[in-house]
Amino acid sequence: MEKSKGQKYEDIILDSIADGVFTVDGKWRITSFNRAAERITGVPRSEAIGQQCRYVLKAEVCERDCCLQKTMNTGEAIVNRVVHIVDASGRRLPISISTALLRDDAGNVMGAVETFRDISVEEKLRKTIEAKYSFEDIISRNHGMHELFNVLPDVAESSSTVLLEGESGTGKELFARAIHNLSRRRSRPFVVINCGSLPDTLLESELFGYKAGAFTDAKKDKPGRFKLAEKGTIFLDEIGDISPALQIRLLRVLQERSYEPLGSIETLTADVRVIAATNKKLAELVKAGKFREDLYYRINVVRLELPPLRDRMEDVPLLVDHFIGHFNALQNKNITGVSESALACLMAYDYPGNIRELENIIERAFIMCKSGMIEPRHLPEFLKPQEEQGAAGADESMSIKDMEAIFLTNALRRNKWNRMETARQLGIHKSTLFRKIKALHIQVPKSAK
Amino acid sequence: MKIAMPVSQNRLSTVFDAADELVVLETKEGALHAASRLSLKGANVIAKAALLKSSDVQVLICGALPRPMEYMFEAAGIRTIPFIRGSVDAVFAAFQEGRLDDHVFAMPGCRRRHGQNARRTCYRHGKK
Repeated sequence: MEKSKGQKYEDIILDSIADGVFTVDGKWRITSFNRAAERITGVPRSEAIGQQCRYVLKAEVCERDCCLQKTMNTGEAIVNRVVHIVDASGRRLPISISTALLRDDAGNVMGAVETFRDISVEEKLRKTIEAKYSFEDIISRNHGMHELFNVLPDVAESSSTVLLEGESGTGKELFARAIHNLSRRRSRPFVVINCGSLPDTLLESELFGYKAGAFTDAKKDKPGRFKLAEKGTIFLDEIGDISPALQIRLLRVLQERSYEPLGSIETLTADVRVIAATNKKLAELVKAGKFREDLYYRINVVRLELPPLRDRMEDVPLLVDHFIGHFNALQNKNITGVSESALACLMAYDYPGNIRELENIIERAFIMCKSGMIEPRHLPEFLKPQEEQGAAGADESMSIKDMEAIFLTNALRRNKWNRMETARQLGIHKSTLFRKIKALHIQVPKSAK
Repeated sequence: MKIAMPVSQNRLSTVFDAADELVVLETKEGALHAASRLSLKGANVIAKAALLKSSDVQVLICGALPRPMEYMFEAAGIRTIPFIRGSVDAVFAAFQEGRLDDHVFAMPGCRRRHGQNARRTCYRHGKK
């Protein structure tokens, strides 16, 4: 049926607004679907019209607590309710929805209208500010990381002291927050202290607090981090850096769950869950006599080792995606992604600084790239392979095939030329890898598996 | 082979997160051998993944599935076929007969290859 001029005008208006808008009939079938609704859900209008709205919106509330159903049954509008949907590409998005009844001229109910807004930017910013991360914020498709995820709920539930070991920048604090947010203490404070960044005397007063007059500048009482973390969780980062004297004090807190602030004779109880982290091997420090064995065994109740990024290179594209979304939200930009050649550069690097280093690289790329896609020229020089940096004379460009060859060679070297292991790490079938090795003329040692 | 489907009133749950119950169908020599139901009530996503793994589920056919969960199941060795809709019986029959790619089972806008190594389209990396 040909649309009237008035209807076409309405469509133009609806297509020009930023909020998603759709209408349904009495059987929940979508009767109109604006451009913003297409963009947010990832479902083209042509595929949405005539379909049951729950298969298009895919919200967690669709089956049991549908807002449209509530409105249709009660006649009451719903305003700004936050729900989560899954878009067509599998992204879980928070949206704010509002609903209202649609009535004809005679006042009969024809259906309902729902408007919704993508609030994922607000949620990203809120998470950054409040640091309320869950394990879903730990981005990985790596098998080893998922083995860690599997034990997280039990670890969180237990309230046991946890030791997180891993190189700098592997996400130890993020993991600690995820454990806290899965635990019964999640509504209580999560207090962080970097033991390596403070001199001993300052660290002691920070941890345990002090009474007024305890030392020259102590003009009033100050609660320590253990007090601030009461009934919550304290995260002791760089635990391997604390002095022997402080190790003894910490041991007492873990053994007896009590301590005295500096200058106080009153003993305070410490109902605090302790999560410690280090980028050193504590067992080796114990052997070297630099860390107390009894404290080590108090901390090492549950030990989780976070793998370095070079052992989970399949996560680099996901992390790049995540950081692009993060910096787009923070800087109000619209960088659309990374080009294949830029991704090849990113995949060919070893990341001694792990995820933090990757984040810094993307942040730098955001300065160099004003819009569109991140290209190799937006990336730091050290990301370009050494062989090509030396050879770069008249021709500084490298083909995608060259980059792919370098990337695969590095991946094979990292896995000691084990092709099965390399294929598994890269998330590709072994026959694909064998084909690429042949096509790219990569020289594999005869002894390789 | 064990195939799991999160359900709501004998239809596949629209969103995996919202499902309270899992139907597990076991086949032997291509025919249905056993069927059981597992409760997912109150379980967080890690617990759901652990339940699937401990039940030896090899294939998960479900409605909308967020990416982190897809990765989690993938890492646990479970093949996922998400964004499917329909009744349990119809979906199971289609899976057995290799017809699950049919548009009647695909959620609008979500048609994709369902092979073992199928990867979600990478919207950010300059390729479709």
